[in-house]
Order: sequence, then C-alpha cells, then structure tokens
Amino acid sequence: MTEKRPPIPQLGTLTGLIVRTTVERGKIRHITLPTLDNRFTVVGTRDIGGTNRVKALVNSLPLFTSSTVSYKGQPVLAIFGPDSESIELAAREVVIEYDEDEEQNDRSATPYTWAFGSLEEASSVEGVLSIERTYRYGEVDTVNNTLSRITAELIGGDLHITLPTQWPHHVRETVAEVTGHPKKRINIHCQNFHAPHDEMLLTPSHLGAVAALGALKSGTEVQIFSVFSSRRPDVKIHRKSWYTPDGRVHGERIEAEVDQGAALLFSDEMANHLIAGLTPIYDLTALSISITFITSAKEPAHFNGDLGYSDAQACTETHYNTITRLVGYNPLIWRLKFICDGGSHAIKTEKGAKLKEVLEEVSQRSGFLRKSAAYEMQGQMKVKLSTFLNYSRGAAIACAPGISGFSSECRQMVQQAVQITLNPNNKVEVNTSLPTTGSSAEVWKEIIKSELAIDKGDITFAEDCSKVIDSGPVVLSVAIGRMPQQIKRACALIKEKRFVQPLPISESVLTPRQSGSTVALFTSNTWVAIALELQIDAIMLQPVIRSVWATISMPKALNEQIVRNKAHRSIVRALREAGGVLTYTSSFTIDIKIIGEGEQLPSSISSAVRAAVNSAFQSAVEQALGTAVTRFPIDGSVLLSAIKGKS
Amino acid sequence: MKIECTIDGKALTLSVNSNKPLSLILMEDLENQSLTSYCRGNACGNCIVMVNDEAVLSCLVPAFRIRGAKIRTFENYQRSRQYRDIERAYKATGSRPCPACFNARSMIIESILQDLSSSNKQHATAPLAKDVKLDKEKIIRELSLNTCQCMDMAELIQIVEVALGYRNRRRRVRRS
Repeated sequence: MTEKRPPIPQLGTLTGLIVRTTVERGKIRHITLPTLDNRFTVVGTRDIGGTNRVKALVNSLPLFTSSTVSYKGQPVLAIFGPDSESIELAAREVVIEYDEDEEQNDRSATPYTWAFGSLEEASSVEGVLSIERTYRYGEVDTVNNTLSRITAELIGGDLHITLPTQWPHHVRETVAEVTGHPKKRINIHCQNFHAPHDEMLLTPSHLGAVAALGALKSGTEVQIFSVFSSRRPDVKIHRKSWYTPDGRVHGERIEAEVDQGAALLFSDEMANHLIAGLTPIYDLTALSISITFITSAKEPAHFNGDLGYSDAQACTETHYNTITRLVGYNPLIWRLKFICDGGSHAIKTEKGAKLKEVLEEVSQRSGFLRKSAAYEMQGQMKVKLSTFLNYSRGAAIACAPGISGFSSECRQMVQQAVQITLNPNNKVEVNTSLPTTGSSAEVWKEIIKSELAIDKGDITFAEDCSKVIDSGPVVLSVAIGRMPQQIKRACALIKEKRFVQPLPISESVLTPRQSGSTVALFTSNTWVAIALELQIDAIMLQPVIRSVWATISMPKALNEQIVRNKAHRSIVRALREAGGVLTYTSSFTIDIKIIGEGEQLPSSISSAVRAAVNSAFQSAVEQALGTAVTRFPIDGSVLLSAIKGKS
Repeated sequence: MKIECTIDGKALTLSVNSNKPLSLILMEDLENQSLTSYCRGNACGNCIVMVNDEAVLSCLVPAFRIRGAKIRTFENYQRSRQYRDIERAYKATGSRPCPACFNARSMIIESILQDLSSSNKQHATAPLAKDVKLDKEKIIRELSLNTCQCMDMAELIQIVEVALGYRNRRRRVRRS
C-alpha cells in the first residue's frame, strides 16, 4: 500500500527567510513590504525587545540594519511563512530603496606593536644586506554546504532553540539581549556539527536570535534553513630583513595589515596569534612587528580554522626559506645552524635540539638534501622539463610549533570551566559545553580512565542543557589542546579527596591564566616538520604534489591513530586550499611519522600542520619556478604572473 | 505533481513541484536526517543517494525523474549488513571521511562495490572477486563525485580495496 505524504510535512511550523541588502554601502531610505496575509510574520528592527546587537567579546555587530549598510548581504528583516516557496516569493517582492553613500575611506585602528632589540644597530652591521617582500594571504571564502535547521519555540514561557553551534552560551546571551527574554528561560539544544573553518561560531547566534524573535512574535514554532559561510581575513605582510652573507639574520621589520571586513571582531586576540606566527623561531637580535586592522565593505572575517597563526607562521617560514636561498645555504642546514633554543619570544617551546632532531628525521626520510640541491641546480642550468617551462620541480622544508587555545594575554574571554563529578556509584559525570561526541571526547575519557581508574562506560556527560557550564567556544583546537589539561587537573583534585571525603566529589577547573611581562603568549610542546615535493604542470598551470613527508613530535599521543588521521586530513585539506593538486599515482605518498616522548599532554598540531604545509608548498613552488611567489592561495593566475614576472 | 516512488523500501506518493530537487524532497518533505548538504546544484557531492542502485547527486535530480525509481539513502543503508564492510574498511585503514562527507562517500563506495560485485557475477567462470582487477580510472571517476577536501584519492582507493576484500570474504562464507 502506497503511503501518501502531504506537501508540507510540519503543519503549523513557520519557515523563515532573511532579507539582506543588495548594495555594499549606502543608507536605507525606505523599505516597501508586500501585502501579506495573516499566515506571514515579518520581523524587523522594531520587533527587537532588547538591543539590536550581536556581541563578540568587546565588539559587536547589528542584528538587523535599518539605516546604514556596511556590507553586501547584511540582514534587514526576516519573513516567516507557511513554506519555503511562499516566503521566497514574498521576499522577492520586498523593495529596499537606498541612498548612495559617499565612498568611505577604510577606517584603521591603532596598530598593535611588538618589538625587541634595536633595528638601527641590526641594520648597521658591517656588510649587511637586506631583503624586502610583501606577502598576501586570504581571498578565500568557504561555504559549509551543510543545510542546518534552526528552530525556536515558546513552550510555557520557556524559549527552546535547537541549532548547531560552536558556542552555546553565546547563543543564549545573544537571544537574551536581543529579545529581552530572561536568560534562565532560554534553553539551547545543540545539534552535531562539523565546522572546519569555524563557520558556526557567531552566525548561529545571529540566526538563533532571529528565530527567537519570530517565535515570540508569531507565537508558533519557527524554523530557518541556512548554510554557514566563513570569510578568511585578508592579510598583507610586509617584511624587511637585514642579513649578512654568512647567513645570519640580524634584524627584521614586519608590518602587517589585516582587512577584517565590516567589523573588527576578536582583533586583540588575532594580533597575539599573528605576533606568535610572525616572530621567527630563529636567532635574531632585533625585531619590530606592527599590525594594523582595517575595515572594509565586506562580510566580517575573524576565525577561519584559527586566528591567523598559520598564515603568519607560513609567511615566516617562506621568508626564511627565501633568505637561505639568497645566502646559498640549504634550508635544512641553515635551520640546524640558526634555530633559537626555547622558541621565540612569543611562543615558549621545547628545546631547539628536539626540533633539530625532527627536521633531520624528515629530511632523511624524504631525501630532502639531495632533492633540493638537484632541483636547484637543474633550475639554475635551465634544463627544460617541458616545452613551456624550464625545470619546474621543487622541494621545500618547513617547521612550526603547535599552539592551541587563547593567548595568555587574552583578558576579554571569560574563564572557561569544566566540572568533573565522582558520584557515589563510582560513576563520573563530565559537565562541559564543548561537543561530547567525536575523537576529542574519547581522549577525555581516556584521561579520566587512567587518572581515576574508572571504566570508560561509567563516564557520562551532563545532558541537561540548563545546567551545562560554559567551557567557551570550540575554536583554536581547545577540545584537544586545553581541555585535556583541565580534565587532568580536575581528576588530580578529585584523587586528593577520594577516600578522604564522602562521595560525590565535584571539582571545577578554570582555564589557567598567567600574566606578567616574562610570560610568553603561548606555550608549545609539539613540533611539526614537513618536507614536500611538487611539480608545476606546464599545460594546466597547476602545482601537482608528488609527495609529502611529515614528522610530528609530541610528548604523548593518547591515540596515535587519531593523531595520524587528523594530521593526514589537515595536510590534504591545507594542500587543496593552497591550490595544490593531489593526483593518484603510484609514487604519491603522504608519509607521517609521530615521535612521542614524555608524559605531558600535547598542544594541538592542526595550526602547525597547516602552517608548515602552506610554507613548504609556497617555497617549493618558488623553487620550481625560480621566481618569487608571494600571493596565497596559489592558482593559475598567480603562477602565470610569477612566470611573467620572471620573463 | 504526484510522484510515486520507493524510498528506503517504502512505497510513497509525494505531492511536490515537478522541478523540486530530490535532495530537498528528502530533507524537507521526508525529513531525512542523513542528508544535510544544500549546495544549490553546485555539485559538492555531499548529497549522494542511490537511485536504482547507482550513486547520484540528489541535488541534480528533479522530482519528475524519480517517478517509479527505487531510492536508497544512507539512513537506511547504515542499518544494512553491507555497510559493515565499509565500516570495517575504515577501521582497518585508519582513514575515515570527515562528518560532512561521511554519508556521501560511504554511498559512493557502496555503489562501486556493487558494481564490482555484479561484474564479477557476470564472469561466472572466473574465481571469486579477489582476483578482479580494479578499474582504477573508473573508480576514481566515481569517487570524484564528492569534492570534499578531507581525503586524498590514494586513501579512498585503499578503503575500496579493503572493503571489497571484506565483502568477498563474507560472500564466500555465505556460499560455503
């Protein structure tokens, strides 16, 4: 018997659509709405019971705009109707008239600075040479095609919102501020999500607030279907380095300009991440970094997998690879000679000897010394590999320390907590707002199991969303970088009280906060070294990856298979996003080796892998073409302009 | 328009617009939880379902094309015995697609496995499929239906090979 399905599955539920601006800049003169029957509900700025702002730490964005337009696609109002087709038709009839705004100059904020040593002295050393380069990163918009359903419903005075989000407490606070509804009566139900580019950090709060307004005004359940996008901030880095022909770099001046689009969000913390990446891990007597954030008529950009650390670190490694070529050193030999012990001033790392070991290991496995020298020589001899290009193979090496979480100077972020309770039946309950499914949660269970000698099956996570404590946003690999340390600390505290105090024993641990001028911005105990070999396809003008070797050094890999899988995925994703082509050939390999020593918990490797891969890729393309490639990602047009620049 | 088709073993009569994509029918009208991608026909490859045992991009299939078709989604497939072969292959190789493309990639691999198995059946005289030579170009073409950037082709082919091994072993056990 055939089952009959009605055209609209959920009768009574209103579907929402957000009407957005169609111009980049201007002022809204008038909005004309179509005549809509009582099945429709329109939500605009007038329906906002609280404030028309979505906060992100110290800065904020308007929820809806009714006058000034800051970027194309800014929300103006929302229409809720019986089905998606009818609201789309209604939205098409909304007429927004604009007054043209005068071309505004991009506003610039006070630059962030970081310096040590005297650049004057460094630049006046006898026989000193200098190199100046401008690197550009960004111009990649990523859209997560996952269609998410955000629902809001008012049940007995309680607002229930279901959505995927990286920061549930931010959703609750935003909804409370926008609607004026009491925070205690707002329940957030989180859905599973996958957001490799942090697409679900602030946008769900925005959509959740719109859905809540719709639910409050219409009095029925509402839903909004949406895909989430993320814009990578455009970063321009100008570097001037002073070096002597013996290979020693004496000083460096770095000026970075970051275009964050219509609003400066998380700029303070982003500056710290950029500083961490821009500060070389090599011996240097003087350094001056200046970072300026500017706004433009583009969608706001902030987190994109990280906060700019990988781009900055990739830029540093690429720049130093260029210097090594100028002074006639092999990049590996130069690194082994000039690595600074204990990391840079911004990142406190493991001893330099460890990094040397990692670099030597990856070089040995990949035959880097031989390949790099051979490709360099063939390139200089202009050996033809194809009709169109000279010898176009390149090999490069790069390394990076792994960091995770917010910097030690981040003051705006409320300290994020995790609570562990050992119950009388010897069962453990973990209370955190971070996602409790996936490999990270398995690692947490592993730690609790080893610390408290409790079966994994006896470890559960708090499910009552009203009682879940704020563990902060799921960004910067906190789930695997910071959280294991907090869990270990909580377990240690419970262990001290166990068998002394009656059960249940509950312990909360906040994020460790250090301060003082001597404290580094980040601490790292992982090293990533990447060697990469590629060839430029002369017909397609694409960099084809031949092989990748990675060596990861970390104190303790709780599950080596997970680390290997994550590293592999990060390498593939980074290469594809950088413009590399991964073809299936018998010679193509991604060879990963993990060196685990020590008992500490490791910091995350994701950003470091991305940074080292990007840098090795860029440097290898440079070697393949024999000319500077400073724009990233590398596509056909970048390659063509690099080739033209050479000729 | 009224369309009769079979979705996940259920015979259904749907009242939908004739040009509504299959992906939206599954997501909106049938509330299928395994399908979440919405690329508006940009062929991201995360909306793959089996239509008459062939992996297709459901966002590119209009409603009128599914009349009388047998559609199988990951929601139903993940409960089947065949899925175990792929799950074991993921575990054995240590590679696993990301959550965004997991369902779609699993469906593509299943489609390849079915294709390889049926070609094996046609050559009844040949020994069981452990000796079947994989047409890697064809497999690569099929796997390229999904454009997610989380895995490289070598990994995926390894998964297909391992899963095929498991499937054949299961068949041999059943026959014997």
